[in-house]
Amino acid sequence: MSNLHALTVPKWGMSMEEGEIAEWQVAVGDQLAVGDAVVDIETSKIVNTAESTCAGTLVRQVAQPGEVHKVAMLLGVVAEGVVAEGEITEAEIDAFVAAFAPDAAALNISLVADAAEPEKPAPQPSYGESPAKKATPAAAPAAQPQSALSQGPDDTDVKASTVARRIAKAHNINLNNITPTGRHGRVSKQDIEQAAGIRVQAAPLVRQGAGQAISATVSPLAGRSTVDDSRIAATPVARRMATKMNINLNDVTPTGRRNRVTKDDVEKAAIALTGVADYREEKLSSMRKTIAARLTESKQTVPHYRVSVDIEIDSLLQQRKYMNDALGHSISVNDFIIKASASALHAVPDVNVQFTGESILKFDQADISVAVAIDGGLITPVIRNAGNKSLPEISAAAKDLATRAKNGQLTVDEFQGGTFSISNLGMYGVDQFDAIINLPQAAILAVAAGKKQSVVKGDRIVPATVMRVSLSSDHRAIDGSVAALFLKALKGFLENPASMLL
Amino acid sequence: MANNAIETQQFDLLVVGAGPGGYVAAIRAAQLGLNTAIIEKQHMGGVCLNWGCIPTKSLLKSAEVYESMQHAEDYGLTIKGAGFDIQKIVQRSRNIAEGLSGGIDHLMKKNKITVIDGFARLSAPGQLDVSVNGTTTASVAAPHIIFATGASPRVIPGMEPDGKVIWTAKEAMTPQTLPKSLLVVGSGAIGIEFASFYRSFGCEVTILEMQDRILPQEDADVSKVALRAFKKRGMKFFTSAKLNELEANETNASAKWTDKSGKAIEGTFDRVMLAVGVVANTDGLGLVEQGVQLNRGQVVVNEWSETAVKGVYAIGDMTAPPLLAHKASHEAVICVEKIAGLADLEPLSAMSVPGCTYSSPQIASVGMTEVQAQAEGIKTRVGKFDLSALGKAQAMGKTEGFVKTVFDEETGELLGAHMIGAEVTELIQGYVIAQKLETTEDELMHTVFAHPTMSEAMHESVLDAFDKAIHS
Repeated sequence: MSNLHALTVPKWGMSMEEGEIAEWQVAVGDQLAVGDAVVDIETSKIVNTAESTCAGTLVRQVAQPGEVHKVAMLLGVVAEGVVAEGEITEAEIDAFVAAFAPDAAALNISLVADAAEPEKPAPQPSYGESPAKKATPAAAPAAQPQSALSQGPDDTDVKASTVARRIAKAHNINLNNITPTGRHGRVSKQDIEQAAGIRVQAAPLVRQGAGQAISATVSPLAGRSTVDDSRIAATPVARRMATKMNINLNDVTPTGRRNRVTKDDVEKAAIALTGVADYREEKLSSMRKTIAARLTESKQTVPHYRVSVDIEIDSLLQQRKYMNDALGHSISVNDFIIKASASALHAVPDVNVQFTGESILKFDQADISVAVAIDGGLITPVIRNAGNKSLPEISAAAKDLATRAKNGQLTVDEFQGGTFSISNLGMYGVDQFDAIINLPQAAILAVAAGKKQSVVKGDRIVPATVMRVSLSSDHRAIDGSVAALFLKALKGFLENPASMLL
Repeated sequence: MANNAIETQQFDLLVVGAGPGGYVAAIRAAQLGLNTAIIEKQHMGGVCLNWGCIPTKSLLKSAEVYESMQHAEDYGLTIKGAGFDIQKIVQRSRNIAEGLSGGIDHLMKKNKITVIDGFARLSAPGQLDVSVNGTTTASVAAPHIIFATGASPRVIPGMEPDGKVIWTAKEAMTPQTLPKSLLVVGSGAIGIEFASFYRSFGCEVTILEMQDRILPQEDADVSKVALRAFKKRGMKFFTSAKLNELEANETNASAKWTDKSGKAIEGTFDRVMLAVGVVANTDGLGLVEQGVQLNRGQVVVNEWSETAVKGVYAIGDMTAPPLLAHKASHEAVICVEKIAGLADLEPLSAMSVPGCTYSSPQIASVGMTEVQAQAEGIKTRVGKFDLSALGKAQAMGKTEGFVKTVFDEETGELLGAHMIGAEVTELIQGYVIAQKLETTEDELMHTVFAHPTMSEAMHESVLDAFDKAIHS
């Protein structure tokens, strides 16, 4: 067994704690050299490929796509050298997997901390078990039933009852994984319930004279009647169907003659009680989880307040046109805003801060995070030291980061660690919006579209291109007057672009 | 007479066609207080009453009695000189049809329904022009117009019936003389009924069917037993046959066809009857011009018989199958009640419409066949009871046939029933009611069937489906 080696989840960047297995690049039986691409792992915002740390033959893929594994946990097992099929028994591999203990020290990960949190279950209990128990097949990397049932090829052609299909959809179950016992090989509602353990069992039929207690239906499907329905008028077929489908006739709308519940009524109720509206369930990507967690934390813990101002950008547009048309650049309005924000942060450094609880961190350098919408979410690549960069430099950096962000090619360090954020929805023509602060930063600028408006100047009404910006600030670190000063500075820079040269 | 010279009469509801769909619609509408008019181009009662269901039942009754006479000895009876007069047999059927048609006239009067003779054409939504021989005779308008113009025998191009030696059903039910030989093309209910009738009077009957079994609409078991029974009566059958040529001569017709093995066969017959289905009567009605949709010639309607044009409805044989008189009548009532705004209406389900063939032996069915149920993916329980094991059938001397039931194993629903044998057209209704009430096998098993009756076979068939039959 000594010739078996573990492939583990690598740690990319300091903040990485876990990753979701995206796709294996190699199959069991493939030869690996050190550095070979082995498996794609999705972390909070990027997909990266784990490389082999040893040479040999892949004998097992422990981590399955869709599963989330902590750093240093087992991905797969590699046997040294060229291994013929069957040379290493499944039992040997099982034993190796069971005996595997993560090398926490080497990766400097506080696994202990996790285990110490009483409300959390120990992350991978089976891996730490004594080798005595290892031979049981249960030690094999069986995925959680729910996720295992979700996988598989397109199941639209699998024969299934309408109700069964609805339930499967609602619980993210792939019908290919269900053994059909229904009519003529169809997947029935019961098949799904049994396979997924959605309902422990149907309520037993009431039998006269039987002394057994009638247990209530165990069902996650709320809102069902448990009242006796024997007095509800129903056709015999309807009543039998309802019994079989465990539907209480009190929950069925009767449409038959003399208010009888008919077969059709029960079928309709079965769909209504199990599915309601038709929808698709999509598992959260790691990015979505991160967005959800961080923005919820920000909105709930940070005392946000917003200050907004209208900025006239006619002069800016004119300068930009000259730069692009005459000088051959391709500078966007947003590049100006990045540059102006950096200049304003230098002018009002009290906005370039972070609140830690104990202290306020004040940054000298303006590292601007720019929100970029990408497939399935958004990401904020950072333009470092934007205040000291020229517009063409900012423009080039912004383009490069945005392109690579959309392709999922950013490294962790490229989207973490900014000091101020800009979110620009101007290209969608919005008039105004507010943004949620991108923790641990203390301020974010929301930029709307520049639009031609009539503006009063002196006693005259003149046309001007007006762009509204809104600054969301963390009041723990930035007071209203400071935010106002920042906006005043920003407005000054954007309305007089040449002043940014100073 | 110019169109504008005719004053348009206004009604609440107009019905076009006075067959079993149309006249029932008119009566129901009148009952509900709607000022109603019905427009008929030919005969009150339509094909069913004049040239279909009723006269053929009269003919088949004559055939049945004659057949009984021939088997008199089986019952210990002696009949000498049993014979028949085909003209009198036909006359009897005409008398009955005329009597009933007169009855419809009476019902129209009684319900104060305006009867307009002529051919109606939808000139605009809510507007009908009525003409006789191409001359406009009336103009009527109503917010609701129900078309119930039925269907006509399908004609195979190049094999058009001449009414003399090549017949459709209409000529076949009014023969002047009895042909010695008859070729029936098509083995649906109509073809089989006429084949049965002519065979009863000694005619040599040959039947061609394009599909691989006769009565292709029925359950396969019924087709099998029917084929055996008809062959025993001396009829000849060619299934999977293709009629290639049909030529009318002076006194007979010659036909060429290929049988299922591809062998070319030819024959000469005194008469040929074409019974290859029907086509909806939609020509000249102005329906398509006003935006009514057709699908393969049939008017497209929703579950309430509404066409694509608001206020225009279609019922009966001009719409989708089953093409049966009772289906038309039932649709008529639902359609009118929906127009009148009655509550608690239920659309008609094709699966609950029984079908009957009055041959000897008779055939009756409702709902799904065993094969249809399986195709739906339903796990079935099938019961079958042979009439030979039934006391009443033996007493009647009619032991041929069976009763078959198809149940949904899971729900106990009666999915379908299929019967062949004596009197089964009267028996089927028991199952139709059971099915409509959504009874399970349980209720049917606990229903008491009178002894001795043919209906006991219905009970035994249900019991057999659940392995509880007593007499088999």
